[in-house]
Amino acid sequence: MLCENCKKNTATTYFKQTVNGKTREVFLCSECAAKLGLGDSMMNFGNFGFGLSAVSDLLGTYSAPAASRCPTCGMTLKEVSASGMMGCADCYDSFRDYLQRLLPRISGNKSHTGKSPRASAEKPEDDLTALKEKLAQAIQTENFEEATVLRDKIRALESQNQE
Amino acid sequence: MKDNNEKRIDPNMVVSSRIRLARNLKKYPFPSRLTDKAAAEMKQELHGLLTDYPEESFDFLDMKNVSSVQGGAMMEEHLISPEFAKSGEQSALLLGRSKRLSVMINEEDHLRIQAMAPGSCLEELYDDINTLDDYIDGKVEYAFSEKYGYLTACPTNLGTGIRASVMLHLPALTRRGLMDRVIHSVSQVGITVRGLYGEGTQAGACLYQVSNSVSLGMSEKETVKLLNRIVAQICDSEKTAREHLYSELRTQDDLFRSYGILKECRMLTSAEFRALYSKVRLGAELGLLSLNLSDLDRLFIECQPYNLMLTGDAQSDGERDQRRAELVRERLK
Repeated sequence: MLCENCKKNTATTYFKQTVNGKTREVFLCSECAAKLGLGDSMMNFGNFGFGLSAVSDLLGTYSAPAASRCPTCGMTLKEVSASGMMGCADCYDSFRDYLQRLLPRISGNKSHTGKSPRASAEKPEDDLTALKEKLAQAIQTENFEEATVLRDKIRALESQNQE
Repeated sequence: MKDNNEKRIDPNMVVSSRIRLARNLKKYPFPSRLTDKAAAEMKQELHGLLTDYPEESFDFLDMKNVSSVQGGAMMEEHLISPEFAKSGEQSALLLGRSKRLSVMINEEDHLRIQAMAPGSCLEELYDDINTLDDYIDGKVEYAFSEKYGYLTACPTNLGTGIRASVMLHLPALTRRGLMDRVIHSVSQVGITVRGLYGEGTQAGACLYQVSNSVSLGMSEKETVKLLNRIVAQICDSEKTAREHLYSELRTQDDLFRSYGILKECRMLTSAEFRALYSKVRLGAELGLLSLNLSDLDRLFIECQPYNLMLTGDAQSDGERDQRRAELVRERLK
């Protein structure tokens, strides 16, 4: 993603400000971040309670719907948006739309590559069945991004099983 | 930054290597939403987690019983994070006897598994931490998603949950004012450079932590490989920055004088020690002073304020400065 200030360099710094419950966010390259007085310490998520007019000029307005709440831990979207932190594993399902907008900006449009826990690596046949169930569920809930990932994983598993 | 395949990590510039894996248990909310009751239940459950671990013996330290001085001293040794040092009721630490492996319980995530050792050794550390992670995986159920990987409290740690980190001594780049350029340059490839004790701290004795900032979409081994490649490039830049600078007699004189002060001083503040340590370490790296680098790095930690308070019962600033000078003189005899 390109820096929202110079529109030339890759954005590496994420800045978020919450004022009176309204969260605004901007993505900058490290050069522009330094120019605007936002150093390395801004590279993590967080709620920075100070106003910088130069940055504020760049910020779009985003107001989190207050009613959205994770049924498992009770965390609200407003809280997630303000702190940048999830309350539990199920928050990743509960606040899927928020994450789908956010994650491509911080780590590109990527899915997990690397190690998996033993539980999900064992029993490939069962995995296939579980993945197919998840795919059907994803299509039903119109979560097409996840469906694409699941479809690719099913294809990979099926081709492994045929070898 | 120059780019070619000839660059190698200079082991003398590397103080230590560290890897941590962020993991959460599926059945509990993340630490920020954990009630005291649930945290107590979890600590009870994890108390004996590594009792039978074949590779290493672990001690269980309940952080509510750890004093602020003990916590601070462990933080200075990089065994725990600054935030964890201040945590209390809900946290615990599983600490390997050799201090190479540790597991923070209820830091930002339920488990922060760590492997750390002096020198440049990320691959070996990854092998060790991977074995420990597999062992824990056999005992608990991790929160995991096919798409996002290991689920973490902060979405910046999603994916592998790995943070590989190398601590480098970079006096010439610092002195020449080139660190900002290095920091900017490596940030383009997902690498972050921070000060001595992590985010928001000062670099101090020209020591910097170089670590990956992205963990989603890149495997653990790719991350280690990328970090090693960038560390090699930074070492190369430091080597170039050292050329001429330290061949001058005036600069060499400065390094020898620093050694002289450390050997004879009677009072030594933390800030003065950091600056002198850096010069003496550089003298040793350049072969001008015959000192063992890992002994010097060990001394650096022993001279930090909490460690002095813990070992020498030095409470006030003045007492610590005196004790620090005594300790340094003793070690450099």
